[in-house]
Amino acid sequence: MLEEAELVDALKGGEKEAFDKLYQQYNNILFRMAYLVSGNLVDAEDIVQETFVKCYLHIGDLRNSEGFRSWIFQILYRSAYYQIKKGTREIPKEEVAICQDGNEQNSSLDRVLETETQKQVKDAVQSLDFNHRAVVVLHYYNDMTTKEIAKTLACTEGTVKSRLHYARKKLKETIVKQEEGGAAYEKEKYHVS
Amino acid sequence: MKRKNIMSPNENDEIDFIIRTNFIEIGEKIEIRDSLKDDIDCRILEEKKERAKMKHISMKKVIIGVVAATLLIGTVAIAGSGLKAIVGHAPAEPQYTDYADKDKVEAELGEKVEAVEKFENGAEFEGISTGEETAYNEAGEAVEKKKSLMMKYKHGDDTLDFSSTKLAEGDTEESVWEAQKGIDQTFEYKGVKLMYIQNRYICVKPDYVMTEQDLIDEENGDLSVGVDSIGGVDKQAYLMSWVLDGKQSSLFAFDISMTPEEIFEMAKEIIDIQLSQAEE
Repeated sequence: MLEEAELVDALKGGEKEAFDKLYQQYNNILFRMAYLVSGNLVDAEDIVQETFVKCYLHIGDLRNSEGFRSWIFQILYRSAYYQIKKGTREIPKEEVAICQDGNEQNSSLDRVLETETQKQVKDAVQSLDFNHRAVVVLHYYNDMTTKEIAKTLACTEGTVKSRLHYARKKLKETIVKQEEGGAAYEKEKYHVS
Repeated sequence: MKRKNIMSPNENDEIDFIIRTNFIEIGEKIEIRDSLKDDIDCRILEEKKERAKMKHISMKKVIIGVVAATLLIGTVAIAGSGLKAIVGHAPAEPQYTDYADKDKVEAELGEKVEAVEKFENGAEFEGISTGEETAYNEAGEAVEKKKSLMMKYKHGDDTLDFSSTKLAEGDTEESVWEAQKGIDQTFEYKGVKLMYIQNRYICVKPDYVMTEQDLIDEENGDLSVGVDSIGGVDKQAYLMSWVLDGKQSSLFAFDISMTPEEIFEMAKEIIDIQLSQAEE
């Protein structure tokens, strides 16, 4: 089996098969990252699609083939940023579409019905702004070091540390509030009068 | 419904564990749909077709737009090139209004400025600046950066600008002419070929959708399109341009009453200076 850098080199040489293999390697991890950052599956799909299209078209810009992983994560986060900035997908689709008949997408949506704890964590993460969410996902989900995160998000390690510190504090506060508030928190969150 | 207690305020250290494990669990629940790959392949195919089409449009084709944009607005991106954008920067008002200050611009450009203070038709020097044009590719990376000389002249009610920019690496006089569409007239003076272009220049907001006619006009060189956050500019642009000694020089104006021949006479005076300096 070809090493990742060899696949990247082959893709640079125009081999579509190499792209297909890289897609297989990265599709789910990118999709999950996009979901954790965006909070909904429809945006996550758009983000992943954009990421792979850019990857294919701009692979020539990647000088060091060994750095593919970090590079594609960078594209993912840039795509996620613009997708979220568009503001068209703010309402989590699973909350809207869950009652519809099951098709391929909805069966996925069904499976994302999280446990109470997962929902709390996801809600807490979504309450952060994009920059903090990105750091949280890279740190907790991708298990990246502050140095690796800094490289991916094109910022300094100091910024990563500070964002991580703030995010952790906010997450803790939100989760505790969820715990203590229960129904009152839900009411506040969904602005139910 | 009773909520599961996932942490207490005293269990701060558990936050990392909770988030990490829940991220993993959430992630395990979702899979990308198989057909997304088909959507991606389709989009790549479309993008490749579009890129192939755009390859024929070079940076030179939009030079009229760049000149117009930098002189009129200061900062603008040019749509319609194969590149993602060409962004021109120039001060809205000339940096220097005293002709004697041209040596400061010479210092900035690192070369001699071949300029006329007053043309024989009475057009007078109003100001001088340096501008910069940067070309960006699809990834938003700057692929080419050029400094320009910008001079402003007043002729009655008309304002004309003169710009001079070094040719991009690999460009020649022939390639500039070959790439330039919509040339309305040609002139020649002392072996220097000049092109005269009159077209419509619009500056639009980024969300502007080009009409079918816009696209046809742009392709034919009858329309140049600039993009900025304000938009709303729709003018007749007039350009006399020539290549000499590795530089492209242009006399440019909006909505003026001068004829091409009158602009050509002004160009001749500049060429005389350029040729005499080239001989030195």
